[in-house]
Amino acid sequence: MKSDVQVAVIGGGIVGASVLYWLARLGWTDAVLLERRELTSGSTWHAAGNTTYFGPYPKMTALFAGSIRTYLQAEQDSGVSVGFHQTGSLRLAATPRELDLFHVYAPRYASLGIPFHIRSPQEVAELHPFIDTRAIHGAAHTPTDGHVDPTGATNALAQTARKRGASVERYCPVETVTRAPGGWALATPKGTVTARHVVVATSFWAREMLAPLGLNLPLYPTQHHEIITESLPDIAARDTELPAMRDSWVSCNVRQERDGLLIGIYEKQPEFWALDGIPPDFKEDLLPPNLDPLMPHLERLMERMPLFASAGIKVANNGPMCLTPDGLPLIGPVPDMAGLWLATGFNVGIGTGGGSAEILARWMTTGEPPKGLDAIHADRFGTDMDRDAALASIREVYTRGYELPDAI
Amino acid sequence: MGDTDNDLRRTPLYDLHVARGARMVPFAGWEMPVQYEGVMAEHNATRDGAGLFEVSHMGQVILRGEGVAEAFEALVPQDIVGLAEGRQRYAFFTNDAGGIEDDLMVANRGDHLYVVVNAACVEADVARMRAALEPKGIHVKHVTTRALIALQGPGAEAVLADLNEDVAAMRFLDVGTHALAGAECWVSRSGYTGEDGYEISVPEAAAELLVTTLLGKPGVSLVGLGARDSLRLEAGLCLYGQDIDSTTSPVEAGLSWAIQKARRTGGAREGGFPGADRILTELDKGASRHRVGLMPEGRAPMRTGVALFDAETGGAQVGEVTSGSFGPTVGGPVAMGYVTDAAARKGTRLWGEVRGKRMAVTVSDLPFVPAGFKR
Repeated sequence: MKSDVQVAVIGGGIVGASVLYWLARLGWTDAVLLERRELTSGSTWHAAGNTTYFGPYPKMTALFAGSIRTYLQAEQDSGVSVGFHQTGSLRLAATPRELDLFHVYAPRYASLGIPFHIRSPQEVAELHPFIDTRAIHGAAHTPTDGHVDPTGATNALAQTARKRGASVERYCPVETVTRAPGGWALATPKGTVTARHVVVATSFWAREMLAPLGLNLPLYPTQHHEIITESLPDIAARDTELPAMRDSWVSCNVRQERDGLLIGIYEKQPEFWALDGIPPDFKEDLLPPNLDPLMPHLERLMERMPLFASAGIKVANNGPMCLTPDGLPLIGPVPDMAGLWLATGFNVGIGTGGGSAEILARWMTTGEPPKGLDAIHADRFGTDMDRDAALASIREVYTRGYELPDAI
Repeated sequence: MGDTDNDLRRTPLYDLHVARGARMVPFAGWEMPVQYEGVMAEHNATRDGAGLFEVSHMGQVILRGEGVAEAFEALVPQDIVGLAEGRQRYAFFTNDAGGIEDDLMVANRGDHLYVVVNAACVEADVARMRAALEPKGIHVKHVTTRALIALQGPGAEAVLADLNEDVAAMRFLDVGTHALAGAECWVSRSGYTGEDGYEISVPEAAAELLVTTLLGKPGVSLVGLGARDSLRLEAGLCLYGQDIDSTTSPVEAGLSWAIQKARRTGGAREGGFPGADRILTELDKGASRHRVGLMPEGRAPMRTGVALFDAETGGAQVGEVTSGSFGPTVGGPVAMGYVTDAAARKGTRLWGEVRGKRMAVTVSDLPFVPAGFKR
């Protein structure tokens, strides 16, 4: 194992692998990624892999776009499939206001070079015949996004980074992060790694990992459910894949998974997980499902997509999902701790991880912060946010689901 | 990141070129790939399959505003008002002396004109357009956040249609917006090789993925500036600064075909462009010199600047070579240049003086290689 490196990335999920990939591409190949178990352990392995270009914040849209590009590029570089399904996405307008906002967003997509169309209810019905379009006002359609296989993407990223000279250490948990002359020392069971730069990409573990340095990162794991249905003959009979659908009224996303549906719900009473510390033996684990809080949403989904009413539920996955008080990740340097960088707090890590990693790697390798991305800076919450305030804010972000913000 | 060459700019695909073994050279203020495997192989790859070129050094400009087509006609002798939406046309900026300031492609993209100009002329062209158009309320935007690539050759359609089948329906000089590798691209069915193909404006950040996706398709090869020059020369296409410049008129250059009826004497919008006096007169009465194709009889290419004489010894100088190199498809040297009216007839034998020796050339038709456009 390398014991003295330019940069160590802690965490082998989609975000850490993306950071390692981008650093290696930009020439920082004296790099090691330290993963406590296997790549994708944590949240990546059970993620839906959804990546949509739709979003009310143009800068975030750029991160989404950069993510798909990063994974596809890694696929070409490594030969490992990232399983990209370019289904396109529909963001339904449940209200006239949502449709108005879609028109507000449209010019930004033009400037980013991302295809974006506003569809009438009739056009939505043609794109997605299982949506009951009578109660919607239209949809925003981003035809070139879709979903990837998170495990394939993580492996493609890691393999490409390795080809360029970076290394990956599995089963190498970082026990402590301490300052060392000229950088940082990371204690692991395999020995100490010293690094000029450290990137913490450990999702909900980052909070306890950095607490000994006096940092109080307001990121906590919520419980988030995904439901996968049995195969549906109506879907199996189609020869093209359905576009993904997101709906503020149901507060859910739905996409095709094989011949069934995969549904992610942002329910009104989210539960947190492991607030008193992540269990030390937590591995590729799921949490016991709790369907009751989801029921009102599933009932609405039966209205919106009557086909769902006829579907048997195959599995309900409940997994931890990291959130920050504003729902955006923490990216960038930690103030007054030269060489310590964060790439954590992602709730849609597949969606924004690849693009965020490019931003961070360019920042690290050039020393120049990205322009106009203050919204994701690592230091924006300070160090004095108390737990109750953070949890209240996270709860609000979570329950907002796909509602569009007032002020842009 | 050391700036080794003074102020040379790098295109969005610089790293890709280097990684793929390109030899980079300074060109019009940019570091550009001159060749990867070799000029011959790249040339033939374009004629046989599909050649992929980065031409992001060229200038992309958007002109937007009420009456933009009429306003733009004050700068060029082309019919822009009559250019249909979704169509593109070859054009050139002229000067008061009837010379050519730059040649360009202009497209009608519905609510705006999209103009692509030569890299070496970008600053002057943008300044010219600003000075002429902004007072008329036209917004001139130099687009610097998009890369430009070209996919050229008989295999181009199948390759690009694999990414988006809509491009197959485009005809020569059609333009449209199409999603390619997830990005919104401005695609035109055009090029600078004499082959069927496409030019694609793609957001900078999406360029590498589009290019590596295309390079993953069978029959697609990267092509550098070296083969670009031999391809366009065989196709009889002018290189600005070499075959045409501020002293050559469009009629001398054999570009009369690019001046539509509406702007000629008796046309609906006759004249009204810089140098109209000379250009309209020459259209009517002919020019005193002509750009012609030249086939050297030996194997040695005849380069730019070679003087042309009407006799093997003595005689008078009747012209000069402006472009010349080996033409891989022709299988021999090819050149073009200007000669006097009397020496311009096809089949005329002339002699070019190379290092004191006169070598025979025959005046020939252009292009040397017939175009493969999909009309």
